[in-house]
Amino acid sequence: MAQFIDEKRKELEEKLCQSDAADKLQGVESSFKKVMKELFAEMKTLPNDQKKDVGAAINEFKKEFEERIAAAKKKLSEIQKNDAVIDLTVPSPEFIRGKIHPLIRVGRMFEEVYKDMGFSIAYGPEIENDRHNYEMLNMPYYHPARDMQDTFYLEYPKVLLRSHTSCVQVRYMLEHKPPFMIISPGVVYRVDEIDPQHTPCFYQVEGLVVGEGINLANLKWAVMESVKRVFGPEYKVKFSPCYYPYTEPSAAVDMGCIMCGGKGCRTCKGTGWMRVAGAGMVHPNVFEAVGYSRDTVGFAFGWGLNRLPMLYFKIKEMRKLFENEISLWEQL
Amino acid sequence: MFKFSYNWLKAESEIGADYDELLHWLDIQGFEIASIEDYGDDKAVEIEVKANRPDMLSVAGVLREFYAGKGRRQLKNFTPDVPLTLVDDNGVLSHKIDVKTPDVHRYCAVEIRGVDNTGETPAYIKDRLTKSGVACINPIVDISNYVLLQIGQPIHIFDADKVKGDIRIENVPAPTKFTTLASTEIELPKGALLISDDENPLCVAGIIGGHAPEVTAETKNIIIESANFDHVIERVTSKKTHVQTAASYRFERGVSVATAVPGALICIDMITKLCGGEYNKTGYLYTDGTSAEPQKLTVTKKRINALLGSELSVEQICKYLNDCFFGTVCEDGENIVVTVPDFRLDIEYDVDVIEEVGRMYGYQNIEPQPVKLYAPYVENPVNKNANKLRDMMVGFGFIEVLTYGFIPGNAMQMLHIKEDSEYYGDIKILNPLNNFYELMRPSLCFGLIQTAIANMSVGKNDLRIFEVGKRFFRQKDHEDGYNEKNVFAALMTGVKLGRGFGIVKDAKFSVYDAVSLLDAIMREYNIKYEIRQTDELGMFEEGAGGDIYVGGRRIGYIGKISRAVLMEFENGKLARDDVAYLEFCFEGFGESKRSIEFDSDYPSVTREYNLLVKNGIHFTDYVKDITGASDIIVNVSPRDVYTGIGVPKGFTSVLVRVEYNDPTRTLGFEEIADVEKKFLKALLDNHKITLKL
Repeated sequence: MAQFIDEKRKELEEKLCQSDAADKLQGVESSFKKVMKELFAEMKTLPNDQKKDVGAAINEFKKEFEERIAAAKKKLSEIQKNDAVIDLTVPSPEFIRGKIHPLIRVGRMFEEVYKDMGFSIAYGPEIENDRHNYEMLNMPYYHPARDMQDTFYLEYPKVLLRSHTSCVQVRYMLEHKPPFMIISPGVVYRVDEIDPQHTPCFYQVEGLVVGEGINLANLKWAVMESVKRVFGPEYKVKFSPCYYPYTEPSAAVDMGCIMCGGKGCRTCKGTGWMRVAGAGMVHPNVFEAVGYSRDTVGFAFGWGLNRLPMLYFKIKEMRKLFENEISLWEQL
Repeated sequence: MFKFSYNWLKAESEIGADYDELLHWLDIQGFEIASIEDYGDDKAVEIEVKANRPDMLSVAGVLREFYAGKGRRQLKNFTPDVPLTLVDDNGVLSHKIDVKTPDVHRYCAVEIRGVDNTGETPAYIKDRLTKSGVACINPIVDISNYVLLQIGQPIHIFDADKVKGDIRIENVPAPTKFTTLASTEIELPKGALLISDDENPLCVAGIIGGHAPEVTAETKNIIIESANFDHVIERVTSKKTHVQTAASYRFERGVSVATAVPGALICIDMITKLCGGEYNKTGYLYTDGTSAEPQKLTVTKKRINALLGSELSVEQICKYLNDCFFGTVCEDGENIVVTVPDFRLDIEYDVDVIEEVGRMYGYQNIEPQPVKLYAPYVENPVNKNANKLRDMMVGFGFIEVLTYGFIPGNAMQMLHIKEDSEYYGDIKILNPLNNFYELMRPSLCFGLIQTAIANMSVGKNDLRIFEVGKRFFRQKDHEDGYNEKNVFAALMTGVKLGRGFGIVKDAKFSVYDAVSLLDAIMREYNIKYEIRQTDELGMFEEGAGGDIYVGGRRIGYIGKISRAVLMEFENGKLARDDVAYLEFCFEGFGESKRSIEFDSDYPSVTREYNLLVKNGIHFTDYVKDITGASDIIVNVSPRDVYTGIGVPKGFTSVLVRVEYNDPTRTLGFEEIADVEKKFLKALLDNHKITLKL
């Protein structure tokens, strides 16, 4: 019996030595299984007193070859790994994902945040009239912004390109009664020559919340919270007094300049801060103009949406947003 | 903006003025520091002053603000003790003064005779003026500017000997020409305030002087004007004449009537001390009735706290208001009667007072409170569709661009869009930046073509771009005669699938890809559409353009942009490959609700047929010949179109794939052959289409 085992050992060893490929190794495995069957069959024919010793020898044989086959398998797989014909580090150009414009991307982040807070989205026309854009917003005919140096007109002084999306809020208030929470994202126009930091049209996301109990602390929360959710909690925000004809009290929202980390640079004009929003409690004159009681309370805010993608994506020049250099947007 | 010398401010302060403390206080009060010029021992600080705070346009104003932060409620008295009697008699001076307009609120005129204006302006005045950005001229003019910067009261000084006869102040009845001190001729709008004598216009009140009464080194006798003009007429005149001076800047924002007399007194004091001369102890003061009495307003503790979201006590509120120079009386623990200081012209309503309380309390100390308001959420379908389209396009590998809403005045000619087309634009901006931004876009195509070519000029030739934006058009029965719609547009050109990785040759975009894109979008929305081929627009290559219809209504157009149009653009020759374009209005697109039809349990049979189609016959027409042949035809889709070798001229080879299926049984080949025969006959009979052999 020992001789038989030795024969089989030699046979398997020979095969194992030649097994330089997966299919050959598979052959060794099946031969091994066959040999084991033969050995056990042979053992059954032996007298009982020999069975114990032979059984131990067979088990030892089994264990030995199981280990040797496993080692051979491992070695082969390592060899195969190094010889692989496919380089999986090479992507084909098959799948290209498009990109959403950085301004819209950041705008949508804000939209999502405000939608989560319960705001609805309202739209309005870009060609507006002086009534919605100025008059009803407590900006009388002599207000500086109403000059042709600041506003684009189609028919002076009546028809113009909206200079803010606050006119959407006016339209909304004329058609709805409080309570409501809306944001009005959109394009606005101002007479600004194109230079690195100015473009004649830009984007705003304005918000308006009108309802009982609304206060300046709520406004501060709404603007601070949205910055926190979009940019992260570590971001520096400043909430300070300001002036707008359509809000009182009014506030300005500044964010720490991301370009210089607040040290002062060209982008932030050396101040370390970038003005990103104007806000305030809606002026009673505005409520009166839309037919509400002067005691109505509500707040409004307006994000200058050109600044935010600049901060978010570290875009140094505002005009780049409208130059549409595709290779830049591909980096997004 | 207001620029001042820090040392000047410190010199006027009775409590010192720590530089960092001053700047910090101004900053948290919303007066942004616009610039700082370092002079070593001094600094010129420029602050941004919003339109509501003209009282901050003087050293006294900034100092007062600093005092507010320190709780020091009394500013030093800038007015010197100069004996002067002011009378309402316009004949007390050497020239009679006649105010003939309601736009003058105060007119204080005093006279000094025998001045010597040949000397040098004292160094401290020159230093302070220069650092404040004001040029030095001669002692008397410099003193007038000094007073303006010191207390914010504009002063005008006439050479009394150059004034001929009476002085009149009136609104010009019609547009009037005026030559300024700088020898510039301007046209005053109707209603502007002009001061003239019997012979000449002397100055535009509160805005700019003229040559006639100019004060020079030789001047001996002067009339000092310290007046108050209406801010509206000042603003209108300044804007229309494009003249802005330190005086007009203040008048148009509002100057307190209370500083007219002090301004005159400071001038008398400084001029007589520095230039000599004797002043007339009686001056003229015109008053129109505008009250100099402090305004009183009532605010309640409840409303203050409700608006600020604070819990301030009456004591705190009164302290904050008193610190910024407001008077307060509260007798019932709730209603506070506030006396507004004369220099705060911006305080009109209780909310203005509440803002003062808020800023003195400190916006930085306001604790943010979450909004607790139930307001119903209203879905915005345009916003939803715009975002859905964007997401779809990202999936298709397109890049979003944003272009301006205005396009060049000659854009319609460049795009060859015909005047009678719905997409012809003629809405022009009255005051465009330049003629490149003159016309409101009637479609997005100009911006997209422009963007494509600009990218080609930096070597980016393979492009798939899209935009979501507004198109503008006239509509008589709509508000103001204009209307606008939200549209989607896409442009594709160059390689869509590059050679390599099994692709033998670059596959390039063609107009068929634009159709495929449209089809994919419409399928997503489950909208049935139709393309009606037409050359009506003018922008597309002949025979390669069409209108997109949904429910019988035209919503947009699609096609291959003609070479001639591309060549109208600078660098247009760089567009060597086909440029395919589509645009449509997506307003009204709804949610695509549909059920899923489960596949048949029986296998489908798919066959492809290469049809020879005469040009001009549309797939959407002859496909009905196929689908109409039998119910077992469940799908017919075009797989390729080809013209060239092997295809007769005037024909196109179209490969279509037909899928046969019956959900109740397995189809037999003979049955399919019968159906094939039937539709091939229909194709031949109806459209003369044969199989390409």
